Amino acid sequence: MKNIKLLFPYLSKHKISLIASLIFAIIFDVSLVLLPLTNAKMIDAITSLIGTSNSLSDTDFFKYLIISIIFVALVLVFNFLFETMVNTVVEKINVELRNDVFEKINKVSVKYIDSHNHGDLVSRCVTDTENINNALISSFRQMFQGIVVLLATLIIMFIYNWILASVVLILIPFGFVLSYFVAKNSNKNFKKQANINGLLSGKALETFKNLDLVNSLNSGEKIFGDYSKVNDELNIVGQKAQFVSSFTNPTTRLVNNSTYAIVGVVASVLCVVSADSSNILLGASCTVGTILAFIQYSNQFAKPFNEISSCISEIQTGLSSLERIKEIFDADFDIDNGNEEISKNAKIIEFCKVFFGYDKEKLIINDFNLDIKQGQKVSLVGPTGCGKTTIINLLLRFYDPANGEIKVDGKSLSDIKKSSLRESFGMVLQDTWIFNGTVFENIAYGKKDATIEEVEAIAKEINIYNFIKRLPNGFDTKISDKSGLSIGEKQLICIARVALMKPDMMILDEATSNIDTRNEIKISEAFNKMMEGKTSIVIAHRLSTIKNSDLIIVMNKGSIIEIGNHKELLQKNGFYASLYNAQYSN
Amino acid sequence: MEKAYSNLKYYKKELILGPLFKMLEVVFELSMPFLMAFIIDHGIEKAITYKDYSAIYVPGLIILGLCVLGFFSTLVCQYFASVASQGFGTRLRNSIFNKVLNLDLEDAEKIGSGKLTNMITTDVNRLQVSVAMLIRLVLRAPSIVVGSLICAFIINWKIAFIFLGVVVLISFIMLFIIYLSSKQVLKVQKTLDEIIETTSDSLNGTRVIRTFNNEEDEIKKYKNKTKKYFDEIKISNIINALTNPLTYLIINAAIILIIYFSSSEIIAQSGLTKGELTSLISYLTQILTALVVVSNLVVIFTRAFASKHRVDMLLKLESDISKNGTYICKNLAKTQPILEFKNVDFKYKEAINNTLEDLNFEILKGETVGIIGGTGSGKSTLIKLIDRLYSPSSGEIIYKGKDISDYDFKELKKEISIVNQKSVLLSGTIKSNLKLAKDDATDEEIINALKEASAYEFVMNKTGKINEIVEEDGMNFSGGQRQRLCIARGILKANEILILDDSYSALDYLTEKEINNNLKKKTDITKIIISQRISSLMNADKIIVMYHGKIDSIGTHKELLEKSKLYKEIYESQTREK
Repeated sequence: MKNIKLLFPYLSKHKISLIASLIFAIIFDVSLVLLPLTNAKMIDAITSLIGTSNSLSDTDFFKYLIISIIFVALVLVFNFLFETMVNTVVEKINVELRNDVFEKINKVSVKYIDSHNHGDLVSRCVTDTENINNALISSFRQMFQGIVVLLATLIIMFIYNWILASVVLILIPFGFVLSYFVAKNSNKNFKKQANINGLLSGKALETFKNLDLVNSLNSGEKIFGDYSKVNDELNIVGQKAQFVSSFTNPTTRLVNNSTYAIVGVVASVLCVVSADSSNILLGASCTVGTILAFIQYSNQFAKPFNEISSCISEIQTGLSSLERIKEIFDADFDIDNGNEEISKNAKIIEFCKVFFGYDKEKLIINDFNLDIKQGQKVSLVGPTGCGKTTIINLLLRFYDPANGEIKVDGKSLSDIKKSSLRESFGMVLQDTWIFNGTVFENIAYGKKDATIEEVEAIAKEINIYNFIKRLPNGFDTKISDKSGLSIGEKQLICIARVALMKPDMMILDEATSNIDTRNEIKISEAFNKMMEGKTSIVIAHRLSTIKNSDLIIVMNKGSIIEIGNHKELLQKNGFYASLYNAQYSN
Repeated sequence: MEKAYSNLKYYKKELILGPLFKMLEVVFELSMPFLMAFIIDHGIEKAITYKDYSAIYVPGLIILGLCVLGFFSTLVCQYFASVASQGFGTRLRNSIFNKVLNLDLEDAEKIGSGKLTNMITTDVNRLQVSVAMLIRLVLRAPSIVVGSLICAFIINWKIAFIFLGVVVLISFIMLFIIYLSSKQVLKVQKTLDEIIETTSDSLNGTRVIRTFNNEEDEIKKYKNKTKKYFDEIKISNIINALTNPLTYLIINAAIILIIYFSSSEIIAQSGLTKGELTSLISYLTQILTALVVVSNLVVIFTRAFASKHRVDMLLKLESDISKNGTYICKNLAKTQPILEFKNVDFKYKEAINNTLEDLNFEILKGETVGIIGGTGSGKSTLIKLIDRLYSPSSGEIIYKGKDISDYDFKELKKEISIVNQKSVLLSGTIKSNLKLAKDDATDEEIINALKEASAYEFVMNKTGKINEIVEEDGMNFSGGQRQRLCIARGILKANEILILDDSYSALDYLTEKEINNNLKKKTDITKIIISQRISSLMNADKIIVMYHGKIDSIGTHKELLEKSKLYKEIYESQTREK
């Protein structure tokens, strides 16, 4: 509940609109509540004429007719204004909330992004904000409209006829209590149902994603057996949940109809009683108009109660979504308090007694020391999990070391502005990143003002011009991560993106492992040309890619075990030599 | 042929009895205003004149009784509805799941796993809701509208025309608003999809975005999308905001008109009575409530029909791969030909050119065969033909002397084991993942397979050993570990042919060599190894070099170095010194 505070700034920003919609609600609700009264007056005017020879114009009939028409007009205009205003304000808040969540996600630490499921984060950005949106709309409706109607109806009923008002007041909340119990009961079932449902869709997605595997393993029948078992469970739980929840409507109808009967009977009795003038002392005179008015009032009075259970469940969903959003807002910002800039062209990298682990108990990097001189081409080699990629994570400050210091350009990383640090590196990762956009936009991503000529030139330089030209619309072809480009092709585009930036230092993390060897040679040549005289760090499996490095760092279990160039390491006949021989032995 | 709604045939009883019980409630509800009119017109008179209140409370009690009866008959209906709709949904989910498992891979990939999952969740849910509504409301809402109209005509046919006008006007307005807003909703949905894409793009690209210092641009891009979203949903909100005021307008105008036009008859005490006037107004309110329900139903059923359309399309898909073969695989002596390709062509359904063309080769039992070629040379497609995920467009694939499609599909699949390029583990345990390959595998067999895949050591280091939990997508294992578990799974299944489709990419060379040595000992098993690394294949009995869907050459490493220019080029690119 206390998470609601999170929404206060958004709400207060739209104070005026919210107050205006409250005023609109009051105008149209009061008109709506007064309408049965004026109708009753019209009917009473008619019945008073029974047995007389007067005409309608002798009564208040036309006065009330005009008032009724005015009320109808007020309802029409202000109901429309209210609905539009409330929906628009809430939608605006929704958009602002989404923007803020997205902005936050772009400013939290990379660790936060790495340690959270991306699908889950997306659903926080989209589904949870939507849930809050629904909760807001429904609570504003309930608060502004429901409560105003309730109060207005109550007041007018009591002024009009306190006995009938009391009957309605006692009976309707009774229905509310009933439907509350139904809702409580069905919530329990729905939670169970939601859990099984989640499990079931998870199973379906997992299977559908890996149909080739299921087919190859010939395990379709077994997997179907598992699925249908859970499916049967869902059938049982779902049927119960649905049946219990379907009590709500009949229950409210039962209460409303009974109220209709009881109000009708009591009102009729009152009519009889008030026909005897000696009983008027009761102060609750009654006519046919009154009966009609109260039948309508009991309906109006019941409506907010009938809607409250769905409103409560929406608010509950909204609150749990709010909590999920708050988690994002509470995440730590990426620390960026350095203010030094890296100078152009002086490119030395030093690692000094660096220790690091993604979780504190398990060190991934263990006393890592390394000096990289200007213009050196350095390669990191070692078995999977030895910490190669972690070194890159530390160097670009996606993570900070637990101990020790990393220096670039002689300055400690923590003193350097992150933007300045990252600007000086070009990085190509094994996991390619292609966003929804054209090939041109994807390549020009790092250089906003790049012209098509520049992009074409870079494409030619790294030998991908022909491949792009063969796409349906060349450089204007829309691509996305799922658009059917092979991993290798996507990687080529990512490489072009970095090449266009002409960075001072270069990091390649398994950048060419998905590209076939013939192409790789061509790209490597382009790289080499590009990197001439510049510092670079390369991680690769294929030893052929790194043989001609100035310095080869062989890592195992988070520390350096061998260091030297290709020839030196082969002569040493250690770990590197055994790796190399395994690759090329006959 | 099965269709989305076919499964309804199992629920005939519920589909007939449910609405019948609902109709009972409708009849009860429609008779209430009549009784109320009786109370007002006769009960009050009688009580005033004779001090006899029975004509007030007896009808009153009857109304209460009808309320209770109506309540219980509705519950009966709701029960039938829940049984039928949930059961229907369950059966439909099973049908879809089974259908997907038997789809041709090409069709399944074209539709996409996301869309398929959506069908089995969202679409089935919508269809399920539509069945519940079919039983609960489809008869109720219109019969209340029609019933109230009929009652109005019975009471006073002149005033009943106002009713008719109300029904027509409100229906027209509602349909119009639904039409307008559903068009707008499509637009909004599209923008929302874009927002989702942008969010997910930005999460997946965190590192790239930050190295390019492009955070602010991403935020700006996103804000543009949400702005567009807001502008579109504002229109849709305005359209929807029209519904309530307009219906209020029509209903209240109708009430005023009814009062006005009934006045002369009431005053003259000819025809319409004041009690009947109140019941007319009650009917009007009932019509309004029912029409709101009908408009919701229209939305629910429009959605359901869109879902029905999608599901029908899926259920309609027929597999092109015949699975009616009956031959049972027999044993084969070593060095007999186990697999032959004869003039095999393959073309994807919608492609223009052949992906594979004129493939001819022979593999003997127990041989190790390497396949090499660049990206897009057709290596993986070739494997899918052997695995019968696809069928050749022309030519023959002969397995143990018979055409591969003449074999009993399941029996054949038992003989062929494939380790895919992508290391996929399903959520469960290490054991459950390996058992996917062989349902009746013993722990000993599993451990042996793990040993042969060089996975035993790291599995034993896990707290759960072979019962260690595997999270979704195997996220709690490193890429190399996942790959070795997949290889173990392939080994466990292998009893005739083992195919390794680029399955070593995440392994270092030492591990690869270790596994290769283990495989070498399995002399009964024919091994097909696909790789981009020559070092993985150079010891094979036979290497097939592929180039743009055709076989460039076949031979041993030595032979190929002499006769294949392409092979030599690949070899040199991987070994040359600088």
